[in-house]
Amino acid sequence: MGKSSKDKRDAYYRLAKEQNWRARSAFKLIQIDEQFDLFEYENPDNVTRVVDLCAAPGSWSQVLSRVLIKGESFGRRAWIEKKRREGATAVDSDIEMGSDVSPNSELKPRKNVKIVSIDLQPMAPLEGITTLKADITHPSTIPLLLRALDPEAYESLTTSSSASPSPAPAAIRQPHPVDLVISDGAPDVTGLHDLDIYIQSQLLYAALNLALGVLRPGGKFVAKIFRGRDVDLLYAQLRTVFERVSVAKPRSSRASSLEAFVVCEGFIPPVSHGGVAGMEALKNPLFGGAAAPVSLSANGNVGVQVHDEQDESAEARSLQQPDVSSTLASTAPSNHTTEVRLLHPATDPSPTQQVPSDKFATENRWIPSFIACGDLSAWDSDASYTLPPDHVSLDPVQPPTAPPYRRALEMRKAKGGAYGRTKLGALGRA
Amino acid sequence: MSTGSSPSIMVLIMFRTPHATNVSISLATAEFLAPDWIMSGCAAVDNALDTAYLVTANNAALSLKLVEADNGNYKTAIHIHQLVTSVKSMLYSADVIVLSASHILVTAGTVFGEIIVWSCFLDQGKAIGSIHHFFTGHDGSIFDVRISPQISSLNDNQSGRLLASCSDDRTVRIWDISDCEHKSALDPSAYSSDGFELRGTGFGANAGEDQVVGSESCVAKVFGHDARIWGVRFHPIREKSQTRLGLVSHGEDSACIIWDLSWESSSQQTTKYHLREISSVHHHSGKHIWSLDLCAKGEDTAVYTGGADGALKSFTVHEVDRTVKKQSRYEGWKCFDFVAQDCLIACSTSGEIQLRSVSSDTDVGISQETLCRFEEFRSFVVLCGVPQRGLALMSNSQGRVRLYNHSKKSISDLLEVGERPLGLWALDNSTLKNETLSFVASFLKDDKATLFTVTGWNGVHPQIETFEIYLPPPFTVSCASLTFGGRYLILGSRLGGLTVHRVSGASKSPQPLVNDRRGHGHEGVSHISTVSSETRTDGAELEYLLTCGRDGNFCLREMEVKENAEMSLRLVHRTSSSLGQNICGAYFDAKTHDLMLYGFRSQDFVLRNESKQMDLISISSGGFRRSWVFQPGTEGIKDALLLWREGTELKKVWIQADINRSLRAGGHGREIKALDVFNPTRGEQLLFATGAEDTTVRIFTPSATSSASPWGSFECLRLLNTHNSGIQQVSWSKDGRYLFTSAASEEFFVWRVRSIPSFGVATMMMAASPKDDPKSDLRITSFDVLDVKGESVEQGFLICLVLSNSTVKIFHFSPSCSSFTLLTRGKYMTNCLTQAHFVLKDSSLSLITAATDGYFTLWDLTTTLDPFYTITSSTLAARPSFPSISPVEITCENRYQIHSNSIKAMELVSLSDTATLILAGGDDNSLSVSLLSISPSEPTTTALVGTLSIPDAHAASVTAVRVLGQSQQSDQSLSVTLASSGNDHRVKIWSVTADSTLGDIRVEHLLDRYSSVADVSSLGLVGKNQLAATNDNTPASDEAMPKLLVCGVGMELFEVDLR
Repeated sequence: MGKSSKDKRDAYYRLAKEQNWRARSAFKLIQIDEQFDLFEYENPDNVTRVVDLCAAPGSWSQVLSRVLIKGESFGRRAWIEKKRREGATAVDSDIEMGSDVSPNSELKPRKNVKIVSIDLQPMAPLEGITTLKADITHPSTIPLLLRALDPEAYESLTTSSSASPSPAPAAIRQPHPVDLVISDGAPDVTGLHDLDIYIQSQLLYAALNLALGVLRPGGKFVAKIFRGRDVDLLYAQLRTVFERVSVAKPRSSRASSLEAFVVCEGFIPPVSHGGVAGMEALKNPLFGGAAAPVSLSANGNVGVQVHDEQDESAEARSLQQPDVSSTLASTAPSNHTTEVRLLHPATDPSPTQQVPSDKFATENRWIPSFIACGDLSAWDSDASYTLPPDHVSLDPVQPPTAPPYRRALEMRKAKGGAYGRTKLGALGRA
Repeated sequence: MSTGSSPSIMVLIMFRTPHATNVSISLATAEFLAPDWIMSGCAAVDNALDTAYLVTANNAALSLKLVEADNGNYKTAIHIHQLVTSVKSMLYSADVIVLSASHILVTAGTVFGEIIVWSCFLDQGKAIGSIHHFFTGHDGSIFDVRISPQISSLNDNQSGRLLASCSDDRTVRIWDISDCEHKSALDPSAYSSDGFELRGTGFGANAGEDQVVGSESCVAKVFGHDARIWGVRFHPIREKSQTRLGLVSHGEDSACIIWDLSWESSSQQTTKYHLREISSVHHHSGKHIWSLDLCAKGEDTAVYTGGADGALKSFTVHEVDRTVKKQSRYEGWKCFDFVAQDCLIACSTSGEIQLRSVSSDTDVGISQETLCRFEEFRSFVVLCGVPQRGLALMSNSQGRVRLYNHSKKSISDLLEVGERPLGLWALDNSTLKNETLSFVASFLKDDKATLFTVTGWNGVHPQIETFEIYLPPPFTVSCASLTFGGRYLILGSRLGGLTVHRVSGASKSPQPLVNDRRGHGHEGVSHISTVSSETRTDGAELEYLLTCGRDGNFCLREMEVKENAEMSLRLVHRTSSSLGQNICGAYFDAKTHDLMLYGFRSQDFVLRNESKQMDLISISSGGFRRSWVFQPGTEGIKDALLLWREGTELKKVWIQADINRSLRAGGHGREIKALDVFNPTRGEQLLFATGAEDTTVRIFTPSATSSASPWGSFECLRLLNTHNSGIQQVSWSKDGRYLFTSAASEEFFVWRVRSIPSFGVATMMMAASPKDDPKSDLRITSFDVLDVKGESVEQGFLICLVLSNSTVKIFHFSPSCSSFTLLTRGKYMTNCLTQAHFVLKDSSLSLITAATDGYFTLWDLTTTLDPFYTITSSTLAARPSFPSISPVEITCENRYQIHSNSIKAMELVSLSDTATLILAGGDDNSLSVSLLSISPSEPTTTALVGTLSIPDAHAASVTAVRVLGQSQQSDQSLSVTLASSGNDHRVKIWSVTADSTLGDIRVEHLLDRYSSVADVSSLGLVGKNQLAATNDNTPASDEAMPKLLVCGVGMELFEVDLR
């Protein structure tokens, strides 16, 4: 697809270039913030220390930098503030605004901001942000992150402990834990669905394991997920360490993709950590396939027998009235009434400690509420738009990161090979 | 990827092979969950048959033991224990082998491009991990790692082992891990086992900074494949002093590459390795070969591959490069042709007529016999073999035609054609009597040809009938055939033209009755044959002709002769084959009745099974410009035979029918996006059409016999590859005679579908909808079609298309003139529209569209379409003539939010004259049921909607809903059985009851089942409407049991019993 046709097909791709974002994903974070107030505009001191995982090419870090360091605001919030300054009291939601609004001129920079961005790929530096080139799934990243977050505290601890026989610091009580951990990381999808969803879930668990070690109680965690098979197991796990878990789909994320974001608020440090965050805890991660398997039986067997699906007749059930009335109903016009019924019984929303049982069992599944972020009248990432006749297609702010097969392409090109072919069908066979 | 990349479920199965021919598999244990995904596994050494070792996706080693079960249906159970973890990296691949009872060697390929080689040492119940190598250098994720079998002579004739890896970076690399064999638990680990100091990643970009770690480099590296390489396998080559190994790799480009790895070792220098590509094999359609395994049988290795197309195929790699072709001296033949199944007749440059019988033994050459010599043939000869009858025709430059009779091996004068012929075309028609021989002679002057009919050719005085026919110039005959028992002659030209002449009876005419100048475009017609014939009830006779052309198409044409001798020729099927442009001929396989095509793809002769969508063989023969002849195989007797001239040699290849096996023929190469089932009403064949991201539409039918056929449960009857972009929706007309398909690039096609005896389903693209902009890249995301009763007999269709730029277009389509008329258009906001459904009530017509913003919109069409149609008792009839007025725009008036994000699926059920039930699924995990009440007089202003929403209906997007049955409870009340599915791999069945007077909707959840289909896009009901069947209180037989078809990445069929 050429640059110009991508501009038509993908409104956010075009907007990102026009508004100087490194990638269109910046709008996803902006739209999640619009809905969840991630950066707490009313209490700016509550969100000053942030870790951005899988940050390259750096559009989320750009948002952090412009919101926290420079004090700009974007999207709907910028628009509301503008209206407020103009003295307009009524907010007419039907006016199209979306993400077109330019940043607010009244800047509110925050104090004591600390932002650490980690990625495997080299990332162009951003002012005021510490960037680390590291693998978030790799244990060696932990000391790097701890040092970047609290250079003094880390140095004093490691020097004092080096005298002791233990080779690495056993546990560091983070003097200044962070308020928010965000992760937009995803693997290059292979096309094998189960594998892609598994790897994405492991990336999320790796981000979560890191977050457990650095997040303050009550802190927030936002991460990309693929809404596929067994995603309800993942939701249920997240709920054990956060007060509120929602699944957010920004309008800038295509409805045709599996992508969504979990927004977890109100971090509750797990009891097993005993409130101690740090390396020892991270070396033995709590979540994901890297966690040490727990045996259900006395003989230490970590295999769990799978039982057949339940009796069919037992499955039929009526739906239930929800506890709270629906948001849809309140906004609907008079010629449209909406009722909500739930398939799953409302369970105790307070986090429960992990009970070792068949992890695929229904009691270990949970579906959080789905929240579409961004105004519905905002740009639609699935729609095609007609560009004005004088539209000039801009170059991307940052060239895409070099693909791993760059050298293969160069070699094929040099050999005058079939590079540039777009359809595999043209290979001269079925 | 590697064998174990299934979810963390493990099933242990036991093989019992009492006789080599009879293999049975049975479960030895129940299914157990492992703590993590298993990437690889191997059995323990011989004396511990009950133990195996596994490597997880987070680089931990597990042991698996079979123990006596406490209870349950199985005698044995599985115990899994974690032995030790190495660096906790995420893996895409692993391989594990057992070197001794206490030494397990593991190689792991990480998501981030490293290869970790480590051992797990077992010592008195304790497991110790020790890392030997940390290989970096690959520029991308490691998708496979493989440890070689032990190599007898590697470094200075010492034994050793190699490791092969492949990656995102399109390279295969070889690493030397010979030292690992001799390590023990006492040796220090090269790196600390928790990997804390293994900073950074394996990606090449980092290598410069971390020289200390991972400085070991590969011993051989080579680029291959056009896309990511998913897997690599060693295949052993048996040699006394081993210096070679074979490798087979498979990738995203749906290719298998065969590699040769060789080395030179000496005591002075380090061993030198050479890795080179031997050949590349493409047997799968679409993208990806996901799995591959090898089975060595003597010198041959059978390679089995599984692709994203669902096909399972096999081919053979020979240890020694053994070509199948043998040659004989060619000695300057002018021309040659078959005179029998295994016998050639040839004319040499010296004018000798020679016979060559071709031995069926590949190793023996071609025997030769000279019959006679004609001096005049030195300058010119035209030769035409009739192998079916053991005859050959030959002509000199004067047009003197001689006949060779193979049964007597005699040559006799036959007739004079009068001038120098350009070609002779024997007309073999089984309906002709045996003593009659017909052929056409064509001449340099391209406006005429002559048909010769020789009766009693075998006798002393043959009777010769000549009939001169006129051709529309330029017409150079390229093939010829007789139809209707010799009454009609069909000729094909080198410029794509087709003509029909009546050549017998009173009304025979020298002028063509039919002149189709572009029957095969501008390219040559290469083949004409009769497939089948039938007589219609009105007395008209029909014959079906198969034609092929160098335009890459094969067509079926219906030739109709009415009782009044009126004749017409009509195209009923056209498909382009992936064989390419140069289709040279076609036949039906004698045994399987599959349609076989042959021709040339670039320099290769290709024989293709078009029915099973697979190339049987591809032979590098230098292209179609070299002299070649091909003879199809006959059932049970002979293989097909190809002969071609290469330099001064004549080469031959016998082609066995099962040379490349298709264990499973497979289906779409990429995910299916759309499905529609045609459930027959009048005894037709049940068909379903699927459209996929691979831009093709396929027509399937459920197989009668499942396991033995390569089709499995779904037999693909036809593949339509006319679309240029991913398919968005497919729909049948009510009567199954028309198929409608839509795709991106604003493509909307109408197909006529027929069933033809012996040929099967015939499909012909009739028309494409007009576009505003010829270069439009808009997606037609959905459409709906209504039958229109015409004033004349011809039916018509009202078609609504919805586009990705929020546009709605409504057309009338007339099949008789294949034309679209734009009636009206409209625009929703700016959102991409996702659904379109007409609502036809007693005397009103409206439209419901849905969009990515979660709203559905009600559009009134009654007044706008009034100039074109009349609506009475829920039928639409076209007015005698359409007024020529410019289309009026319809406007979006009433919209209702039923989902908080994109509406991905929708079905409508009519409840009463005023009420409609809307069943929808959304990206917001929810299922919604809305009751829409429209007053017939004021359709849009008084529309009331009551919605019941189930926000936790699925754990992920609800992408498909399908009504399985409905039953009217009363005038105003209806009960519906609904199936829903989505990205969470669940199929759920719901019961919905709605009462329009009370405005009451009740939903009950009935069933929840796992489906192995990922990215479910559509559901289909195969078979009878179930609730309707149960109402008559007759117990439904097994055959009548309806099935639920789930399509997405693959297809799955469920039986649904709701009685």
